[in-house]
Amino acid sequence: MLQLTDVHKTYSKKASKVVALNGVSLEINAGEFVAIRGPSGCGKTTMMLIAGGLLGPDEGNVQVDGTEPYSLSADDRAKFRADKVGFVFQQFHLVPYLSVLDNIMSAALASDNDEAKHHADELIARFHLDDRAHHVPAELSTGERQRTALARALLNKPKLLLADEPTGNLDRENADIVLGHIREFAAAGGSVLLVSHDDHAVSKANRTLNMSAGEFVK
Amino acid sequence: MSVWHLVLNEIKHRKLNFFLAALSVTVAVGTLVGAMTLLRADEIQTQSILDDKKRQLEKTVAKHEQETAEAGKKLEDDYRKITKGLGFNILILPEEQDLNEMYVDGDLSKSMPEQLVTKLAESGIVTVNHLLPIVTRKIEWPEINRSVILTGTRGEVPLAHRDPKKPLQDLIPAGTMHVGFALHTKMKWKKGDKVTLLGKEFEVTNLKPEQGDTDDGTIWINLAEAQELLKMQNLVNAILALECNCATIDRIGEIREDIEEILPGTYVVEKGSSALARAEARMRAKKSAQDSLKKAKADGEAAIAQEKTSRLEIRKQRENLAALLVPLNLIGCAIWIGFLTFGNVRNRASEIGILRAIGLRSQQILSLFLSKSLIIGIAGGGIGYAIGLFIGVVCGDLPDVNTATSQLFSINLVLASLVLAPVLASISSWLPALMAARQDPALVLQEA
Ligand SMILES: Nc1ncnc2c1ncn2[C@@H]1O[C@H](COP(=O)(O)OP(=O)(O)OP(=O)(O)O)[C@@H](O)[C@H]1O
Ligand SMILES: [Mg+2]
Repeated sequence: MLQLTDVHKTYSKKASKVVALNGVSLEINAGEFVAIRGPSGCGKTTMMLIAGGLLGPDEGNVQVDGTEPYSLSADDRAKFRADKVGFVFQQFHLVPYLSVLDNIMSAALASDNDEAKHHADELIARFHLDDRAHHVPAELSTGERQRTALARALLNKPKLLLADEPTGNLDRENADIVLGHIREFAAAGGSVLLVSHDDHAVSKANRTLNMSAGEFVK
Repeated sequence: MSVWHLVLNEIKHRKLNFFLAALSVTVAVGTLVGAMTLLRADEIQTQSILDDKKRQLEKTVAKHEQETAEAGKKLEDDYRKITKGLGFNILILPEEQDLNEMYVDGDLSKSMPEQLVTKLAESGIVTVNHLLPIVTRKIEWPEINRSVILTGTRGEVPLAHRDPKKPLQDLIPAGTMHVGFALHTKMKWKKGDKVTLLGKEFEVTNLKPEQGDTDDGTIWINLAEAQELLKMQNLVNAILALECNCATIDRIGEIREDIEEILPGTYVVEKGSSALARAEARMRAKKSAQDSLKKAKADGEAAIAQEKTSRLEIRKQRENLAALLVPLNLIGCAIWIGFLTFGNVRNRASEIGILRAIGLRSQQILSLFLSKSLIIGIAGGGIGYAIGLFIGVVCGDLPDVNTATSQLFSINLVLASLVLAPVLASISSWLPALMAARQDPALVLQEA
């Protein structure tokens, strides 16, 4: 499903150069939940953005469900993200002025998903957000916010779910709920790439990789 | 879920940002509309002032016209009285009368039937009046051994269709005689003297004052007696008449036409002096009237022209001010909206980042901001127009608020406001919106 082959990424700012990824290769199959663990600054987020079609690598190849996102035009890559990838972040990145329902539905703006409303209602019910559906993020608990963000990521039924520290802001109980839903997604045939330095989150994965200074280590 | 839903919710969420942007458009449009409305009010006012002045001038001119017409009429009347004093000015003669005989010998040898005067009097003629049939011959007065002009007159024949007028010459009763100045002074006759003419006795009843013409050598007696003395029963030599005041420019031509149609075989002669005086009178009256009118008109028009110039001057100044103020305002507004949008873009970085990650195309992000600008423009344009109109009505100095509002309201300006304000707002926010659309979502999403 996801295939990274010898991916390099260097951030250059004026004089300074930061090598974020130094030849990373990775393959995740359908139905597989892979977690990557590593210290802060080792390049986890960078790898995730590259995998999701948001950040072009300097070298190496990226393939998602048979598509090479960086060979597409910007608009086609946006469509690719809408159709195939779901993102979840530590900061949730919810649209502050939209209700839970509208935040979830905002993913439909990017795709012509006729069943979006129906699917959104389903997700709301499954994530126990029924009585919060018409509240804005400021009125939600952090757990509810992350569930909303996860529901939004899943609205367009992506092949690949990319989760960057999805439980970093949650207590154990809420983290388990969110991780449970992610496991369910993988169990239903989705591929998951979760990056975290939290051992508990990582422990729920089928496979765990350790990363350090832009490379996988044993 | 649509882009509009997103835009409207964002506006509700960040009311201050929207309010400030809309306020800026409102101020810009308000200034523009206010300036234009004030200029329009000024125009209306100028028009009404000029109209007033014109009306006043017309009134003055009309009054003048009436006054001069009255004065002219009075003048003409005066002249008419004078010319009337000069006596009959129309002479109707038999066609075959030799005018040379009349002018050289002072004699009229040809005659025509007396009843012609009746025919004329009953004809309904209006171009002459005071009809006086006469016989007049140059004769030798054997008793005193002198040549005189004997004139017989029966008094004026009243026109059948007109009110009787005070006659220019009264009937001379039978047995009486009026004597011309040259004769009665020469003969030293006095009123009441008895004189004999061709064997018939007459009493002198009237000694005529000096006239300076053939009248001074003329004697007047009753028509019937004259006809008898001259063996001219039922005949006359001439009919005297006075031209009527109502005749038009070609007076004598008209009179001739009239009379020759009624009395074929006659000929009309005009005595010059009085006719000239009359024509002169008319001309002078007319000219003096025209002159004074011309002056009044010219004065009035000059005053109006001056008013117009001074109003135009003021208008020009105001236009210049508006020409300076309005673009400054628009530029200020554009910059202000640009800054506000820029701030808005920065505030929404994470939101834009996630929307891009979700898969929204950059045009959709652009449309998010431009749609908002459109709404800002329409709101600011509408309110700005209303405020501008209000300013125009309040400060436009027009007398009645209701009519001023309807006079100053301009649907074109409303439409212009509602179209141009959103365009202005969109252009102003174009750059920051483009920045938002081009923003790299990865950068935002990476921030911990
Ligand atoms: N836009 C950027 N410009 C320059 N350097 C960057 C940029 N983004 C990340 N880096 C650097 O690249 C390296 C990898 O960053 P990355 O965000 O991928 O780390 P991470 O493993 O996600 O860290 P954390 O666990 O703290 O989130 C870091 O040293 C970081 O400072
Ligand atoms: Mg990170």
